[in-house]
Amino acid sequence: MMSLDIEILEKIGLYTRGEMDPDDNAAFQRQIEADAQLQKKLEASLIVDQMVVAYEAIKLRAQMKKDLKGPSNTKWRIFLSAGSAVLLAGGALYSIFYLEKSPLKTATNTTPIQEKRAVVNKPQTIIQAPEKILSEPNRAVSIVKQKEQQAFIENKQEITNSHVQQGLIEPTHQVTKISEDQIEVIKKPVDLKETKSAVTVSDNTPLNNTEKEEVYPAANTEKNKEYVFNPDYDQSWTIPYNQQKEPKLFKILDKAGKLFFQIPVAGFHPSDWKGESNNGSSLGMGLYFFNIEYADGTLEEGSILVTR
Amino acid sequence: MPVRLYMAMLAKNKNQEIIDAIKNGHNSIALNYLYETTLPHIIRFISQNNGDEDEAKDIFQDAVISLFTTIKLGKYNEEKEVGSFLYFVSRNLWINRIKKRNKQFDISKIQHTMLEESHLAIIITEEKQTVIDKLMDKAGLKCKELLKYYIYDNLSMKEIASIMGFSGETVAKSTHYRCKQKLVEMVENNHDLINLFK
Repeated sequence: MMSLDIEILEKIGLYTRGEMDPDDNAAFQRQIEADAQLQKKLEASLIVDQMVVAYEAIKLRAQMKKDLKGPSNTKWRIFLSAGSAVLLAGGALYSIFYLEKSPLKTATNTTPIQEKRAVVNKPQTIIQAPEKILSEPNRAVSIVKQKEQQAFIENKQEITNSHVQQGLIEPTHQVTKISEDQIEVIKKPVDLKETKSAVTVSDNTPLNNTEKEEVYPAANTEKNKEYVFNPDYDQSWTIPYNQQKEPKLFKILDKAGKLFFQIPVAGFHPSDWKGESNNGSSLGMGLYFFNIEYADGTLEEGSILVTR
Repeated sequence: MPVRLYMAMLAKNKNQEIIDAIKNGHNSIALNYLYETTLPHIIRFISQNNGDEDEAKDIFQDAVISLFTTIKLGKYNEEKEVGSFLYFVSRNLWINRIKKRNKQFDISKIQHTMLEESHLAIIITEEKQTVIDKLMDKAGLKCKELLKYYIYDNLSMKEIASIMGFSGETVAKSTHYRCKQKLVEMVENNHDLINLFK
């Protein structure tokens, strides 16, 4: 009886998946029409298929809840704003006290990954510096230590004589106030791609240190991509190859730069990564980095947040 | 090529891309697209019709489950836009929810929206979900895993045999049918369940 049922189920499977040849299909259809028991079996089989698919699809709800979580009502927004303000104030205090002990840094000493801020060149005066400083652009950058300056910018404070007295500004240099509308904070690195950030003074003399200046090529700034991959919900993650190039090597590294997975690429294959490492183990939750090396010698980098 | 035709072609390609992503298990690609393109419309619709953002997100999740189920079962009309399907399902789910909540509520007050011709949507209600969870748990872990690979992930018996460590395709196949038979019997003996799924 069991084997007969299984045989029928196999036929039903072929029929519902459209894998029966036309003659068998027509014959089976006639059999269904004539046999009430078979109709019931077919109905039950379709319900089971629906149950299996729905059972898996329902698991997406957890993923979506996580993706869409976030305060949506006013009360939570108030809490969040208050929390952010406290954190910002703490951060500013920390940077003021901590960086007093740090070596002097110049405005050009930045990296592409760090958040960058720059006082944008405005047509009107931003900082009035004595002529002595204008003639020495490299020194002029050190008027205000970079981090302290950022703290001022973040808080949009006016620079006053009291800051000179606190030692935040070198007393030999006279500085007038920076008003709010003269300051623009650029928060995203992408805003700075293919540009130079520099502090300029009223006569448009650039103050950046040309010897230490780092100009980041588009390859490093445009192609830093961020992805989220949950191996519990996604069968695989599609590797974001540049279709205009010929990828040769794909690598996954951890935060410390340790290589977890490496595979040569040919003809855009493999196209997916299933979250495994080279020794077959799956990666734990956390942030990983990927590299795609192309035949033309260029490299694309990005990060994947592996969630579970 | 006229711009409008070109835009329509691009939209059609994107729609197919999302359907293919769902079929092939690239869930994050599909979900991120739907969060960006469709969710805001559903939030707007529900917010304008006696609901709030949290309720809209809840309804959206139910609609996405319906979309995935319908596509995976091969019942989705791929000519239809996924956004329009989700909007249609969300609207119906929302009407049902407020009808339950407030029997006096006049449904005609709900903003009238032009809908495409009826979509064939498989809706997974809470009641259905409870029954599904119960029966699938009875099927056992191994059967659940095997049925998922075959029916949800659409893997071949050869691939399943390799993943699950069966000695061959034939063993995977017979195990699959035994598992399915177990569930079919449970369904056949439960008339309420059959009516629920009809």
